[in-house]
Amino acid sequence: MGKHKAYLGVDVGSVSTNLVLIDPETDRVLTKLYLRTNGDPIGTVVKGMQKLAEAGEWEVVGVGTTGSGRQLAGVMLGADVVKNEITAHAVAALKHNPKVSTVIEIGGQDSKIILIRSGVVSDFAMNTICAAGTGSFLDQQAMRLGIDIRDFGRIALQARHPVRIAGRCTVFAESDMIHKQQLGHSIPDILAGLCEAMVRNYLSNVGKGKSIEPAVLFQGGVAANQGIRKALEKALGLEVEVPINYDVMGAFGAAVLAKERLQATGDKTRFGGFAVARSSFDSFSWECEDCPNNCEIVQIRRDGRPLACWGSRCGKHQVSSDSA
Amino acid sequence: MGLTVGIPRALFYYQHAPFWSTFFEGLGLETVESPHTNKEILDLGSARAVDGCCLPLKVFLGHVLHLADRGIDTIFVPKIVSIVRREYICPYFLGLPDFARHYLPNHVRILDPVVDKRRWSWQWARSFVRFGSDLASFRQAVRAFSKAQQRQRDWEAKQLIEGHELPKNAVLLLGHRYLIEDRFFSGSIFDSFSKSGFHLVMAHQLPEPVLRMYARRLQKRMFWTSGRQSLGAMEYVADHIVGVVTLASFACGTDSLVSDLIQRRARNAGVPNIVLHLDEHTGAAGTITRLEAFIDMLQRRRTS
Amino acid sequence: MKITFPHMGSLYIPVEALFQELGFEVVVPPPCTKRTLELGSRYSPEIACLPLKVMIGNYLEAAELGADTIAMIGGCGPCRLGYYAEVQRQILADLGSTLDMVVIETPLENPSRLARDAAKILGRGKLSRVPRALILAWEKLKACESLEKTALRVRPKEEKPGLTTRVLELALQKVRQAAAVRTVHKAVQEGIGELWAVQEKHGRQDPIIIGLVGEIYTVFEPFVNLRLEERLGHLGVEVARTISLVQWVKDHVFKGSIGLYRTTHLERSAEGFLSGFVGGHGLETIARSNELANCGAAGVVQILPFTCMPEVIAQAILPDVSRAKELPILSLVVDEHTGEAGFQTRIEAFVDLLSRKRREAYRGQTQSLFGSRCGFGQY
Repeated sequence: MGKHKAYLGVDVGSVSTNLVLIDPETDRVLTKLYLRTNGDPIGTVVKGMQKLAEAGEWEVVGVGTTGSGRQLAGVMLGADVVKNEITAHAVAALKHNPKVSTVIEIGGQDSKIILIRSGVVSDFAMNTICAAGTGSFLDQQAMRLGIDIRDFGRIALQARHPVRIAGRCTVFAESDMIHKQQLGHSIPDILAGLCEAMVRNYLSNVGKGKSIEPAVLFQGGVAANQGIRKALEKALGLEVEVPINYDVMGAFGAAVLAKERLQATGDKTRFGGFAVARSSFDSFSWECEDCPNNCEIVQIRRDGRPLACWGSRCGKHQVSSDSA
Repeated sequence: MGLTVGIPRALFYYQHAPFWSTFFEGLGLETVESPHTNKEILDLGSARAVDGCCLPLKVFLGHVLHLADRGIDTIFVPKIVSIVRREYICPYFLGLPDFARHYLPNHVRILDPVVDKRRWSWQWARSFVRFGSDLASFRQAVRAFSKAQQRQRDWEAKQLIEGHELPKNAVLLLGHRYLIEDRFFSGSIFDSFSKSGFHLVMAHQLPEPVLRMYARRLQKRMFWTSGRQSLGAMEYVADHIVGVVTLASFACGTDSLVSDLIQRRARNAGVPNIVLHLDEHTGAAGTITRLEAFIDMLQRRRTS
Repeated sequence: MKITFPHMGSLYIPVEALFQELGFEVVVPPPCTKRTLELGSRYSPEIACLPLKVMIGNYLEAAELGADTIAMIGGCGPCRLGYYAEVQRQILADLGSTLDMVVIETPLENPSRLARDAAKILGRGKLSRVPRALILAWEKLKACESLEKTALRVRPKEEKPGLTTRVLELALQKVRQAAAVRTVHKAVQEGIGELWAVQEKHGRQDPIIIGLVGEIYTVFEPFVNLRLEERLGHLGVEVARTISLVQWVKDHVFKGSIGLYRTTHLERSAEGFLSGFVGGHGLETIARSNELANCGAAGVVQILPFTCMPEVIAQAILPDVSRAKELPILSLVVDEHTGEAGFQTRIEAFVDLLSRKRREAYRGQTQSLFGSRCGFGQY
């Protein structure tokens, strides 16, 4: 036998693509992958599957996908569950800590807040327009200061008097930061100030009008940054917990959802096997001109054969992809 | 009576303050005004206010919250539906007391008399007397109202340009009065112009009946009072001014159309014009640079 | 004279019938697409709201097809819509377009002007045709609405995704082609029958019911609301539209034009949250959300264009309704930058929230709004 049974969760986001395998019995994360999407979700998923296949012998008993590329990944892999990232994150947080009331998720390109009351999502919000509350802003600033993003948090923690960086918008925050730097503030103080500015932005954009209650979980790529965590704790006056798998919580949630779904229905997985890693996928899009709606149709092909198709209003061109 | 009424220094404060303060004085009530708009008040408002709303509304909320934070538990937020027959201010004003109530703790009482002159211009007299009688006696309310009204009229008359004669090199400054007169936003404009040799003229310095008359030239009746005054002023003085500055607030529904109409009118009349959009992120720097460039251009035009 | 007009959902069907019956040539603008919006945004003031831009796009695309006159409604409410026509006229004039604009104002606003405009339109048409044209347009309006409302109920239970939309579109085209009241009625009857046949016979639990409130144009124009009703339907949601064009015409054209329209019933429903009319559909949004809670809807979705003044007031106050009635409410703001992915995620998460909540609380007990006392979902 030798093969390890596992549920696969895949989170395809615009910045990163994460894959996790969890143990069917204990829900423990067996292995996790954090890859850069680099604008090529199809290639990244294929690469991820290759790496998973290299990492061990797995028998995948269920697949869940999430993230903005969930539909695409779902079709490629034969997912049993295709779920939006808010639900996936909430489910993952609940699995980690059943008493969780607030989930703060800050990723590379978006950030969200999820409020959970008695084990059910009661409210949520996503950032709408502004990049100031997301990871890419920190990335940019770290790069400008010549600091490795991984050291960001550690350095910020050394601050003694965090500077106050004004501006609720990235552009103004940046110019104000340059100004503060020229005034001679130390790097740790500036970084800590940046963390506080970002937390302020987050709380006033995404967390506006939401009642944040303990226990608070902080997840998403930015949760690696201790400086942000500390700034959050300071602003909220609450303890903020960062789960071990903070960076792959979406994928973890998707795997859990797949497990729940299959156990409830008793169905077998639709997973297409690791052969995916050896296939070539491409996508093809055109504007349908059969009626004045001019829908944009996207077709996914595997080894040249159409696998799935979506985008039409009338249901035309739709090749079976009834994943829900 | 010991009741202290908080008056937020925002929105119609800038055009009805004399009336308001005299009225409450006449009722024997003490009033507290919030301080001039500052960064803290703006942040207070914009952190809480719903995303899509306009800058003045965020500022207003900041003032209201500031008063509440200071422990004032009676705040004056009139529901100003209309101040001129068949005209409106804007939808926000219709829901202003409800909007404020949503953000305030329950114990804070909002005084919200209705000003609605759409059909009957004396409606507000009845409304204020009724409202005043609840806080004091009927006689006091009547007396307070007439005194307040007199004070308001005198004050408005004093706003007009002396001799009804436009100064030379006049530049028309248009926009909502609560933006123009809030120096936190407009201060830099006045500063820039004070040194330039140009004179800023605003719609409220021109006689209202004349503005109304000139606004009739519009193909379609303008039903927002502020917009009608701006466009009326534009029609009235278009041939006698050297430039137009329009102050518009981001996300303001009326400004989005009115500022466009002003621009088109100015273009057709061949008058240089500039629209300055304000939002809470706008640093003074950006505005000043654009304004200075505009003033430079006006000066070059004058000399050439 | 070739008449055109802005799009708003299926409204083009009755409006086209109206003008055709009056004896005009009608150019229906092509359905709204990205190109419409691009054209519109290019020539509109940047900070104007989304509907204005899309409408400008409609006019320009119709002009390409040969239209020379635009029919547009006016109004003098506090909402911006009332001044759209004038701004649009100036935009087109400055563009050097030869499109003529006829603005239909409410009779109370300026009776002489209305008479003049009516004469301008009717001068070429025949006065005797007016009653017939009005009746046919009115019947078509009712027809479209009842077909769409049926589709909203059927879609969550459809057998194949997209089938309802296709059947609906065919039925609407039949209504469009009908030249007499009797054929309109026949088309509706058949259409409704075909729509019910789309429904899956068995299986599939009762759909979740979500009320739809918000600004009228965004509610009705599927391009602007990113086909919100279809998206919800595909997630197994029955949408209870709270705004009805038939009702709107009754209230604002029949009653409103002679000054008889009152909002007392709405004020009563919104009591404690909003004290009166705030322009547009702001008061409706609050009142209907409150009523939906009382009718047992699982949640409410509000849709509004960015910076829409009446709806922003409502958006600020909706959390109070949500809290008081324990009714989840999702506000969706659309503008030309709205991304489809985030939009879909939000809707899905909201539906997940509701279905999980339902599983917790009601354990399968639901009721259809059909025949409910407040009348949503009835036709």
